[in-house]
Amino acid sequence: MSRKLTLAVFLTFPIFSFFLSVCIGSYPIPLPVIVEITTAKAIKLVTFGKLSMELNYPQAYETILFQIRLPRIITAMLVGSALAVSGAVLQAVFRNPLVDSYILGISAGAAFGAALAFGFLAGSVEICAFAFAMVAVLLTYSLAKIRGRVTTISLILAGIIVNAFFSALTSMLKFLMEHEKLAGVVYWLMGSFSNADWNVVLKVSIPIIAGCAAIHFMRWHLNVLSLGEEAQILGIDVGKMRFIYVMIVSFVTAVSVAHCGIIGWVGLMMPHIVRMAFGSDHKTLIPQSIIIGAGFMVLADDVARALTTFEIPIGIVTTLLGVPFFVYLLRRTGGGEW
Amino acid sequence: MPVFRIGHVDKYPDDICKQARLLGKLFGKEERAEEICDYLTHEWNDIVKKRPAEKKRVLYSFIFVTYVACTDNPYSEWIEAVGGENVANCSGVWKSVSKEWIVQQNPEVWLISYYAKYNESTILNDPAFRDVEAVKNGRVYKESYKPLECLEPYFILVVKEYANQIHPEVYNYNLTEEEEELLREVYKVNSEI
Repeated sequence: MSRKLTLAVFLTFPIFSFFLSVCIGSYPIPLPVIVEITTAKAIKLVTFGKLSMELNYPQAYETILFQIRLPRIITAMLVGSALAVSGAVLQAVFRNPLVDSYILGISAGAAFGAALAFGFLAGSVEICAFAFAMVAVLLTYSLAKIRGRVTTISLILAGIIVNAFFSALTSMLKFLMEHEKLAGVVYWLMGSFSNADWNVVLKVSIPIIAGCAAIHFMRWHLNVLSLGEEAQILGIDVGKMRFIYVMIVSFVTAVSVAHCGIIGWVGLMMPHIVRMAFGSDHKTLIPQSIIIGAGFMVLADDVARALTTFEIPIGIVTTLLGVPFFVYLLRRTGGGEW
Repeated sequence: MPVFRIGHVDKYPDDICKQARLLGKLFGKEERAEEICDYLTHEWNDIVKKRPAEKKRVLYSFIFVTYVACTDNPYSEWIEAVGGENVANCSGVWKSVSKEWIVQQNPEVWLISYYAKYNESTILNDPAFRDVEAVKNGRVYKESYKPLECLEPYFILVVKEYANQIHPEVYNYNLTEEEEELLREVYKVNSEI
């Protein structure tokens, strides 16, 4: 496939995913009706309510399209972008192809926060999960700082320590918790977009868009950072840049995890797909990861909500899709290249 | 060594009685066990006897709005005992559903678990549910009693609350009095103390 065609496929992928997802759902709405209702809504919006079309459809159709499907699709796209771009950035910062957005203990911290909120606190699960995800990252960074320096190895090791620490604490909470509440924690850990609404869109969109934009505009530095400590010779303050990148991706990942639970493999898979198509230049890798992450996540969510009568947790879907992809990647590269 | 296990309930109130009798035998309180059993069976039969033929479509949401009780769940059995029909006709205990699925099922009564971190207003104010019968008619209720473990005699109070909520035209239990009676009859506790 030529590079231009590949680029066209990549760019149209999220648009295709978006429209496909609008048409998919357990409540059957015929396609012409979707088109008509959407057109009517667009006309009303563009003319500030001065023009409106009379439609004779059940009110539930409009509710499902604009209050359920649309916010859910937008949330999935935002979270997919955030996780994919986080993976791409961390793989460059750590110079390790197996790193994803959870390497710094974010998922373990968020899981602990959620379990604490479910079982023992009156506060919001989202706030608690977000707070502990950030605590975990800061703890990882503090542990990794040895004699004023943070090296790649120390950061990865600190991440492993913090992951293990919070996982043990979460297991302890699960052990102590009433089994009714435990069911909620287990469900939350597997990830879901089923509770997405416009409030969630509002809460995740600002930090994720800001974070992705910041990474996009700073993406030039990633090529240099991926050289490792040698980047210092080229005049880059490696420690400072690494800290900035880690904090931005941690923030967007924590926001995503807090609202949608733990969704694995996206941060690992998406950057690799882009690399296979366009190479490792972060000038292309970052925007393409954002785009393809959005498209992939919304399609995975379609599988989660439409494959069976009941919902499959999104974390299961992304893992089931991720495993064969990694087997393919391993076979193709022989495990030695990235 | 003789071993027996308590805790599993397939059928209410028979299995609760079976376990009460076992415990009675074990601790030499067979007569007391029989009294508790008689009370629970009487109350259960009283509820079931009044149950109307017309079934209301009921949804039971657990920790999350979209995490619902399936038909194998004890809550589902209690809903059916008072003339409700669980709209989540799925195997297993809990299942995750989409908001869209809930709109499609259109429950007439919506019950929320005692353990949920949200309340009635979360559902009533969610624009996604504005076309659901239960929301339009304000028939969304959060459990006021902690069912504890489903095998405890306290379950009968929860069932009475469901009865009031699902078929208020038939049932009119004064739950404060019912709770006092339960504490007195089963736990030998005077709630005024």
